[in-house]
Order: sequence, then structure tokens, then C-alpha cells
Amino acid sequence: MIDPVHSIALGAAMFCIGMLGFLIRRNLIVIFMSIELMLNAVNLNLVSFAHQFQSPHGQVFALFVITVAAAEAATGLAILIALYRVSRAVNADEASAMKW
Amino acid sequence: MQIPPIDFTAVYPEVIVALVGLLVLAVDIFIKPQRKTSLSAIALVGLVLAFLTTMLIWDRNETAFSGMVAVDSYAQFFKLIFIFSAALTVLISPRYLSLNNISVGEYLELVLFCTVGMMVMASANDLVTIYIGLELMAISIYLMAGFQRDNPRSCEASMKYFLLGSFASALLLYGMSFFYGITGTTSLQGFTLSPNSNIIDSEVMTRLPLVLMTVGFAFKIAAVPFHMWTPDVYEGAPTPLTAFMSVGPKVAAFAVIMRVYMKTFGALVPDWVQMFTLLSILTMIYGNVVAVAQKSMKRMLAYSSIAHAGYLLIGIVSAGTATEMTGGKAMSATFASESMMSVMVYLFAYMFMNLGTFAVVISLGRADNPRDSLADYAGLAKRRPLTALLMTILLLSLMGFPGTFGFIGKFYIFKAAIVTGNLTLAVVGVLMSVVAAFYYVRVVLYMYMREPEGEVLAEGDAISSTMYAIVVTTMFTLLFGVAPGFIIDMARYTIERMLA
Repeated sequence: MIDPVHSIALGAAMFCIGMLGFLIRRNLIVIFMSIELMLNAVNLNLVSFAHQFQSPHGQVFALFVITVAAAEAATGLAILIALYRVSRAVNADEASAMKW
Repeated sequence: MQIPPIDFTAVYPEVIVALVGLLVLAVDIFIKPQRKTSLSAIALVGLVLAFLTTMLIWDRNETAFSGMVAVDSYAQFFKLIFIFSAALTVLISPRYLSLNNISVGEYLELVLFCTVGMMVMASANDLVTIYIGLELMAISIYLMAGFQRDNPRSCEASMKYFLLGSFASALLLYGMSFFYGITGTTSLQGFTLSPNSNIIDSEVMTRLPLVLMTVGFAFKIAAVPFHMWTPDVYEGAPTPLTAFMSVGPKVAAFAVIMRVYMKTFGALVPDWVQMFTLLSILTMIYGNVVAVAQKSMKRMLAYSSIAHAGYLLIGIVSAGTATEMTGGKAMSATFASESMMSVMVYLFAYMFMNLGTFAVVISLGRADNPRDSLADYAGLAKRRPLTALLMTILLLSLMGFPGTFGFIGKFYIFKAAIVTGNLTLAVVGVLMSVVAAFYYVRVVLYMYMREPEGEVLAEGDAISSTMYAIVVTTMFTLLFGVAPGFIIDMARYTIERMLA
């Protein structure tokens, strides 16, 4: 039996790794992957809480998160391809036509 | 196991707008290119229907779909704002779309779906509903921002908004997962300070969902320091969508904030009042000061919309302080509802004046040149007297000049701040309004006092749907500026029923 604290600690670690990846990495695809990692940390949290409460709410929420994350990934890749077509940029630093 | 009854009447406005969105998309395939304007007509008819059904369920006060959706006047009030802003966006778009060769069908469909998302947010009574509404709104906007696929700026705006938006929703979701971990339910009514869980039992941990969710919402309302995406996205996106996204998501996020923070996080008021006070001060100062330095109208309006989020947060803070206030429970309840009423009235005013101002920016644009720099407004009063006059009224309203709707909104917000003892916020707000007056009046001076440089294009006040939108928004700005009683009573009524 895995203690819920362990899965929540794992979730926190995943979330922090995702957040660091988002903030540090410059490649847009890696940034996407970091966001997915953060969302999966959320799912892990939800599912482990749901297991602890023995209630389906958290699992249903996790399913919704997975669905929306898929839609978001599709959108993100579409935008990335559009951006690559016009500016040949896959790095976040190269997309800097506008600055204040 | 019994499946609860499904009451579709509770979500008629959402259903109608979603169906009309699909209809527009389907009709778009079969219709001849030269008759595309009829798509706008379909969208407008659908929005009118949604308006009527919203009025139909105006007085209901219950929850539907097993408590996932709240059917109350509070939600309907915000749905009215979304329907108005979507309708005005449909009106101001055709000119810009034809100038830039943007396909009308998909565009309108995304505007309508985005509206559905915002409506779902306003009536959400559960974390899952909030999240679904928020993502429906956000994904539509990511796509809309990148609508000009061959324009690097548009793609870049879309990318930036997508990355920061999904980062923000990941933070929001992480907060929501701890909300669930503490309470064992995703319902907004379920939050307690005495956790049901044996994992999370410390004082600090109960604040975690509050902090993370505040960050997520602060991104959506573009409060400093979570505003970084705003100027770039507003500048790069097609102008009618900039108008739409400067109003819709902000209003929707405020609708959720007021419901969640007043009802659900009622026990954590001292904590979130502190956070929002800081956000409000930073947002007002940064938005207004940086707006002064802008040469592009779109960027200036982006910073001005950041500043407006700061004023709106004053109302939220006042509402929080009012519930904290000791001495006379009835009294503090009145103050709280008055503060929230001020926010709702301000949002209504903000919708009209901001969309109107952007409509003017659109009406000046040309195919080869967006003409949104300040210099392009020089001598506008001679070339297009009516547009210049209407723009002046709208800018004065944004500034908060007496006699306009913007003044009514600011007046009630500052009044609420003073009554509830938030003098610092009121003083900063008034001082920053003076700074704001500088950059709004500067545009007016350019229009009336400056001679244009270089060759002047012959132009007049052409009649177009954009012009209708400008006239309509200005009319409402003046009408409610002189006689705001109707909106104020409406907001007061809805908020009292929501808090009861």
C-alpha cells in the first residue's frame, strides 16, 4: 500500500520540475512538455486524493483535465507550426518581434 | 444508481450560443464567398436569442446539473455582458476581416465558443465547471490571437498567450487539486478551514489553494506582476479580437473571482484581502505609468486595460474588508454587497467604453497600414468629425469624466473603498486616474489640435457596421452616465441574492 503522502510528494516534485522546465528551457517543444508534466502532476494529486477519500470526484476531474490537456496540446502544436512557417522559430527567444 | 434529471432550461443561453456557433461553421461551407456577411447576421440573431433566454431565466435562484451549475441572477447579469460584448465584436469585425482576408466563418465560430466558455464560467458552481469554461474560453482565444497565420506578429502573440495561459491554468489546477485534497469535494460550497483530510492539516496548507488559484486568476485579469503577456498579445492579435479579449476574459475572471472569494474563501478573507491589495496597487501604478510611454494606440489601450483591472480589484478588496468589519453584521453585509455592486457596474461600463474605443481604432485601419500610432490621430477632427467626437466621449469615459458611464463606475468603486476604510487604495486610485487622464487627453489633443504630418488621405465618417458599434457604445456610455439607476439597481439586486 502506497501512502498518499508519497504520491503527493511525487506530484509536487513533478510539478516543480515542470515549472522549472517552463521557466528555464528555451525550446518551445520542451516548454510544451513541461506544461504537460505540470498537468500530470495535477492529475496524480487528484487521483491520490480521490483514492484517499474513496470518492469519484477527483477521478472525474482528472479525466476532464486529461481531455482538456489533449485539446490544449493540439492547439499548441498548431500554433507552433504556424509560428515556424512564418518565422522559422522554435526557440522562445527568437519570437521577439514585439517588445515594450 | 439513479441518474439525476437534466434541466436544459437552466443552460439555454449557453446551448443556444454553442449551437449557433456550430451552425455558423456549417453554413460557412455552403455559402458563396460574396455572401459571407449573412454569417454575421446568423451570429447576431443567435446572440439576440441568447439574450432573450437569459432574461427568461433571470429570476431563478437554484443550482442545476447536480450542483455543477448555478442558475442565479448573478450569472445572468454577467451573461448579459458577454452577449453584449460578443454582439459588438461581431459588429466591429467585418471591416477588419475583409481588409485582412480573414475567413469569417471560423472567426465567428470561435467568438461564439469563447462566449460560451465565459458564460459557463459565470454560472460555474464547481471547480470542474470553472476549469472547463476557462479552458473553452482560453483555447478559443489562443486560436483567435493567431488568426492571421501569415503575420509573424499574430503568430507570436498567439504563442505567447498560449504558453503563459496554459502555465497559469496549470497553477490554477494545482491549486484546485489541493482544494479537493482539503475538502474532499470540488463543489464551491464545500470549502472549510477544518480539513477533512489527514494529509493536509496545517494552517499553511489550507492557504495553498487560495494562493495558487489567485495566481491563476490574476493571469486572466492581467494584474501586475502577471500581466507580461498582455501588451504583446493585444498588439499582435487582430484588432477586433483585441477588443473582445480585453473585455470578455477579464469580466469572466472577475465573475468567478467574486463568487469564489466571497462565498467559498469567505473564511480566508484576511489572507486574500492582503494579496489583492498588493496586486491592485501594483497594477494601477504600473498600468497607468507605462501607458504614458506608449506610441501605439493598441499598446496604450492594453496598458490602460491593465490599469482598469487594478481599479476593479479595489472593489474586490473593499468587499473583502467589509465582510471582515466588526460591529453591525447587517451593516457590513450592505458594504460588501455595495462594493461588489460597484465592481459589476464598472465591468458593464468598461465593456461599452473599451469596445467602443477599439472600434474607433479599427475604423481607422487600412489594408496596408493598421494606422494605430498616435501620430495617425493628428487632425482626425477635421477629416472625420463624428468619429473624433465619439472617440473623445469614449476616452473621457475611460478616464472617468463626470457625465459618462466610466465616472459612475469609478465613483462607486472609490466610494466603496473609502466607506470600508481602504484609504490607501482610494488615494492611489485617484492619483493614478490623474496619470491616466494625461494619456487619454493626449489622444484628444492630437485629434483636435495637431495638424497631420505628411500627405493626408481623404476620408469621411463612412457608414459601416463598425460605425454603428461606435455610435451604440457611445450612446450607452452617455445614457448610463446620466441615468445609471437601472444598471445599479440590477447589479444590487443580483448581488444581494447571490450573497444571501
